[in-house]
Parts: sequence; structure tokens; C-alpha cells
Amino acid sequence: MNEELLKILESLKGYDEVAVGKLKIRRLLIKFVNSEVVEVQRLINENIGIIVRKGNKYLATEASGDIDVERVKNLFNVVAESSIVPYLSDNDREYKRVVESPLKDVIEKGEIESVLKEIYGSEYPASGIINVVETTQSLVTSKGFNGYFLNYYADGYVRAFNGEYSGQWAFYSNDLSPLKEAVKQANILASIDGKVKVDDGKYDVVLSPLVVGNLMSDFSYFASAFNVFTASSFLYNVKPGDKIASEKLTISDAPKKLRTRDFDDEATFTYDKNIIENGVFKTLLYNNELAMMMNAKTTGNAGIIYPISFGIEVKSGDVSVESLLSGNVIFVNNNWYTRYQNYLEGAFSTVCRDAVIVYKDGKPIGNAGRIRISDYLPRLLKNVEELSKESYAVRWWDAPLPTIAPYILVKGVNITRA
Amino acid sequence: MELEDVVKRFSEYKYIEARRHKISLTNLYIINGSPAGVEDSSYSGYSVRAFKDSAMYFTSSTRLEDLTPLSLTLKEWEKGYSADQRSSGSYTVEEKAKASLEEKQKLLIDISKNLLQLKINSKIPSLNIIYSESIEEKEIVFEDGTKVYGRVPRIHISVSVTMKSDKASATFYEEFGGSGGFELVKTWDLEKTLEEKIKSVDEVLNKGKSVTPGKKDVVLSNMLSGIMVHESVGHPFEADRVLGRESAQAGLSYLVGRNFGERIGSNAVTVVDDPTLPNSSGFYLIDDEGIKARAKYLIKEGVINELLQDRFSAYKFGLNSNGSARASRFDREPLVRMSNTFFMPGNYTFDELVEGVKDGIYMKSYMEWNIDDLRIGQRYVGLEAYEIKNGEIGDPLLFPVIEGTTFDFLSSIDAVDNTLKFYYGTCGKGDPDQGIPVWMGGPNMRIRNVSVKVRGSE
Repeated sequence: MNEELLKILESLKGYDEVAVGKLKIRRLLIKFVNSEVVEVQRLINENIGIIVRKGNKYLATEASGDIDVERVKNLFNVVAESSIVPYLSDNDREYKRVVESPLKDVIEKGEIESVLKEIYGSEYPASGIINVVETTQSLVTSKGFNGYFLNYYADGYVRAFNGEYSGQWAFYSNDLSPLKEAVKQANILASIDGKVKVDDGKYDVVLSPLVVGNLMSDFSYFASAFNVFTASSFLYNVKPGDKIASEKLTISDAPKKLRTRDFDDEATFTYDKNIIENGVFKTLLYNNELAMMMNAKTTGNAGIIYPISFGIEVKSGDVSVESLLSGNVIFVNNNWYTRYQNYLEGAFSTVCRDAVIVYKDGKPIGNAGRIRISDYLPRLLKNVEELSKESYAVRWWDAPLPTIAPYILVKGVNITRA
Repeated sequence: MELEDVVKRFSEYKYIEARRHKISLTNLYIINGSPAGVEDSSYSGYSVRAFKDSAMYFTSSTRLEDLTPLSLTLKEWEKGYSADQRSSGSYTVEEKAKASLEEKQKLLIDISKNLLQLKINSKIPSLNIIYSESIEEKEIVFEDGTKVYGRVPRIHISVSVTMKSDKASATFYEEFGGSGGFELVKTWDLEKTLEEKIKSVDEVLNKGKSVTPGKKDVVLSNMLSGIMVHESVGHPFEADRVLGRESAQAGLSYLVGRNFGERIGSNAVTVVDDPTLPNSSGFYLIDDEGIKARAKYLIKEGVINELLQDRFSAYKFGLNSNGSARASRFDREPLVRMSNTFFMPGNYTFDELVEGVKDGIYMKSYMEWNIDDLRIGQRYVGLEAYEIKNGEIGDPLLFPVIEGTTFDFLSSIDAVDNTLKFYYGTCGKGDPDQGIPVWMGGPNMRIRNVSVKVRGSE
């Protein structure tokens, strides 16, 4: 298994640690606009990455196609000692998992009739992307690890247009079955018409799973130990056990549940873990080197030097979506262009889009348009009032991290408009 | 196997472009004055984009052998492509100066250490530098035998700083970028520029006072006019966006339903996108569809003049392409992209802009910005910002917010000064996402009657 990588590993002697990894991705992508196909893309990519470390010197290299091992050796000779260096896990296991999936035929044979049927069948003109992906992750290390994980997933998003109104939905799944529901949801949301003006002020807001997905992609950035180490996170100075969120809120890094990764870039087996549990901070996301520097243990989230999340789950609640919408709230279907003024404080704004519906006494009275949530992420986490029992696995262009998310009611959210 | 052989393999298609595309990249990381590693990458591979009837197909791989046609019968959105004349040729950017890895590391470490030792009132918990140098090479062969070759080396430096006083904190990025060799770094005067910025942010954090909200006149710096021209004019003037091709991603454009010749701004507003600027981040001379690059006047004296077009969007408008198609990597399709976009300077001096303001704000740099997906409602949060009283720049202000619409802003620009500065940006578009290097810039500009808000209690 992984003979090509073992051969490269064999050629890199004289270092304290060496890791050779390969990520092969085969993808079929369908881009559609107004329920017509713009383009079909078939993308094949193969990246080989090498990490070599000796003492306090290291070099990380990556190449698509062939990798130049001699260049690695020569470049390593001129790099300076580093204040932070990667450490591989003491893992000498051989690990292999091959997922079988009908998505293989979609990629290889272009069997997309079922996808086209849903797109063509949208009541309102629909635009979006459907991705069908095969990933093969391989890793061998000088500590004896030899891992292989072949996986399939599908994701996509649908934005339906009803004149100047629109609705959007997304999915992330092991198969294409959620596409039908995504088309349906996008159409239902696009059908809510009428306009209502919302002035600057504080409102109770119901965030849809897409908005939660967008904000959780950012939350994973703040939870990376690297960004805390470099004072670029509102979790700077937060300690395990600190209460930092509503007790109804539990956020996990969930590579196993989402089936995204089995082992990380330092050969640590991944596992699901709570970052926030019932409002209490539990852990950052660590690799070996940041864990050593910050007196913690790796959480299996390497990223060389930079720990990353492999997918987030926000634990669902026990009330229905309808009950969240039963009072005076603004429902936000979707958002984009989230930007931070201050990473240390988590101060940000994001622009709402698609169905931004004002509910009065539980009844929709119109679309508020492209208002802005201008607030602090830590404040939002604290002001979570309720979460729905329904949850969805989503991923889309502006929520790139696979996320399982419910609808969330947040009290007193600061809203502005241009 | 060569690119020409792949073109033959797709001969059933009417339009074919086969591309070899390589980006070699070296990144150096410096954290708080210490080296934090070197990353050496190479993204190299091939792609084919082919079109027949109304079917568009794009395929890419690290191996030419993998590129094969795919036959599908689809209800297609693309209808055709403009009948433009392609240009064979090549363009390259020279690296006039080179430096060893050790020299670069030493320079960046010295700068970091000097900045961390500045005598200021705020603390600097973190100062990180990413130095990135790349060489992008493209070779494109088309079905009619046209060949294009491009080689563009680039340098990009990104500095992120966290500062904290007893009163407030700030995190900000400063970026430098262009095409060429190490000679660029010498022109940027990194240490002086960063020292000045850190000192003025220190002043804001310690002495900045709250802004009084309301309608005010605002003088926007070259940096602010750069981000505004990119977000409020450049993106909505991408013809594919107007047509709806990006409607599920970055959205549509306020230009849907508007016409060329329609007034959208004051007479002081002229906007240009020009890929031919020497040493720019967005430099190229022939686009990825083989069309010769040229400057495009998007807005002329306040009037809608021209969109950014590729051959497929131009066909739908009944126009010619103006050479705006670019792909960021081998595994990305060419899209309509900005290159170097800027407001044209005018005749005023900066002092004259300020002299004309009785009670207003000078916004020199920003932290947060965003805009809605029609490119209408936008917001900028000031970092280095100062009050203007009776024609003079006064005390620093603590993070004023301006929020308004593109139409409000463009029609209220009453004067622009005679300077023109460019700033590096990584422009995002498409799915799969394509981050692409651009410049954005402009003169200092005065905008009348802008809605100014207080951060956190808008």
C-alpha cells in the first residue's frame, strides 16, 4: 500500500522526521444558471506533500504531479531554524478504509440524469452547483504510519429566483438524495414575497442552517490553536472550563460523523470532540506542535503548523422550527461576505441575502432585503436562546466547511442597513 | 503528448482551448520576529475547455492523458461565442533583482524585530509576516492554431498585526504586491510604511474619540477608493455577473436592467480596468481566450461605458470581447476577471479636498468592508480615521463606520485629487473558487453627505 510514497520516504534519509502524503481528488461538477446547465467540469487533481524536519529546521513542500525530491533536499539546507516545527505522531499503524459508493459512476461515467431532473424540475429558475467528489488520502511517515482513506461525498446548493425574491438551500452528504429537498426548500423560501423595511437596531433573529454554516466556518478559524497562539482569535486567554456561550450551545469538531477525515496530516487518528459543551469551553483544535507549546494534547486536527477543523456539528435542540418563528423575529435564510473588524474581539458584519423574512406574531409580513448583521461572534454565542430539533448537513460556496446545523434563535442581534 | 495532440482529441468541438499552467510558489513565515518555516509548492497541470452547439465542458488533470471528451445531451445556458480575432504571442515580466532565501529571511526578521521594539503606548501581542513569491507560466493552444505564452513572476507580502491598549484593540492586515522580482520589495519601503501605520493605530487606540453619528462629508484615502472601486464598480461590471452566470455565488449586479450611456455617478467618476500596467499584480497582455488585452473604461465621467467581457459573455451582449478572461490555476476555467481597477485621478490637491469640508471625516485605512450581492449596500469600518473641522484634519476617531449605497456614493463624489496609488488584492470569484492577484486603486476622494455610524451601536 502507498508504494510510491514509501519509495519517496526511503529516499529522504538523514532527517529526524519525514512525512509523505498524497491527496487525489476526482470530481464531477455541474454548474447551472436559471435551470440550464452552464458547464460540466471533470477535474482530476493529485498533490504530493513532503514534510522533513531535523532539529528545529523544517521544510514543507507540495506539488501537483511529480515532486522534485532533490529540490527538497537542497532547499532544506538553506532554511533557517524555526520557532515552531511540526512533530509527527508516534503512530506505526497500517490503516486502510475504502468507501464503496454509487457516486463513483457519477464521476466516471457522467451519470447525472437524476441531478438534471431535479434542476430542470425547479418551479422557479434555479442556479447553483452540484459537486460529486472522490478523495483518496494517503500518508506514510518515518514513524511507521501507513494510511489510506478512499471516500466519496456530494454537496451542492440551489438558489431559486422569484423575480426580485430568492431562496437558497444547500447540502453535504454521502449521496445525492438531499438534492430534491434542497430544490424544494429553495423554492419555498423564494416564494415568500412582499417587502418590509427594517431600521438599525437590535432584533431577535432566527439563523438558518446555511447562516450557521457560514459562521461556523469562521468559528473553526477562531478555534484553531494557531490563531489563538498568534492573538488573532477571541478565544485568546479563554481557558477550558470558562463559560463562553449559552448553555444550550454545544459545538463539536466532527470528522467522524461527517466522514471527512480518518487521520490528520501528522498521522493522528481523528475523533469527534466538543469545542464548546453546554456553553462551556472545552478545547481548541490542536496539532502536535501547538499542543506542545500550549500545554495540551493534539486533538487530531493537523494541518502542519496550522490546525484545522474537518467539519463542525452544532448540536440540535428540542423545539420545532415553527416554534422558533412563532414570535416577533427576523428569519435569515442565507448570508455572505462575512468580514471581521477585529479578530481578537470577534467583531464582524455579514450581509443577509435571499429570504430575510420578518415575522410578527408568528406570521411572515415581508422580506427585509439585504440587511446586515453587525455584531460580535462571542456575543452571538452567548445570546443563543433556542435551537431547533431539525438539523441539516450543509456546505456551499460561502460556507466551505461541512457543517451539521440546526436553526438557531439568537436574542438581541445588532442589525444595520445601508 | 503535447497540447496540440489534446486539441486534436477534442476535434468534435467547435471551440477548443488547451492550457498548460504552472504556478511555483515559495512562502516564508515570520511570527513575532522569528522564522516559522518555509513552504515550497508547485501547482502544475493541464486543462481543456471545449464548446460545441451550446454545450460547455471543462476538464483538468495533472496528466495530459486524463483529458478526454465527455458526451452529454443537456439543456445548456451558453449560446455561442463572439467572433473575435485571436492573437498569437507571448508576454513576460522580468525579475530585475533576486535575493537568496537567507537575505529575504534576514530582511523580514530585522523589520519584524524593529517594529516590535517601537516605543508606543499600545502592546503588540502579535506581528506576523508571510512573504510569498511565485512564478506563473501559461501556455495555451487553440483549435485554430493560435498559441499564447505568458510568464509572470510576482511577490506578495502580507503583514498581520494585533495591537492592544488599555482602551481598545485592533487587528489589521497590510499587504504589498506586484509583478517582477525582488526589486519590488525595495520600492515598497516596508519598514517605514509599517512603522507609520503602527504609530497611527497606536494613536487611534489611545487617543481616538467616538464619532458623532449622522450625515457627514468624508474624504476617502487612496486605499479606501481602491477597495470601493473594486467592490462597487469592478465586480458589478463583470458581464457574466450581469448575465447571471454567478447568480448563485457572488450574486448579480445593479446593472441588470440598466443601459450603456446611463448616468451612475458624478462627473468626477471615471473608472478604468487596465491589465497592461507594468509591474502590476493583475498584469497580462493576452487573455486566456487569446484576446489582446487593453484598458477598459467602465465608467466615463459618471456614465456607464463598458463592461468586462470574455467571448461567451460578449456573444450574449452582441459585442466583442475586451480580453478579460483569466484562470487562476490549471484546474480552473477562465472567467471574466478584473486586473488593475482604479478611479482616475483629477486636478484637486489633497489639501483642497480637506479645505472644502466643514465637519467631516478623513478615512485613511479600513478594517472591515463588505457589500451585498447586488453590489449596492456597502460598509467600511475605519482604522486610521480622523475628524475634519473647518477644513483641517484634527483628532483621531475610534473606528467610525460608513454605510451606504453605491448610487449614493458614486453620485456624491464631488472632487478627486491628483494622486493615484495602487494596492494589492486577492480577488475571489467562481466555484471552484478562484483567488486571483489584482491591483485596486485611485486618488483621494471627497464624498458629500455620507451616513456615518458608531461601531457596535449603529
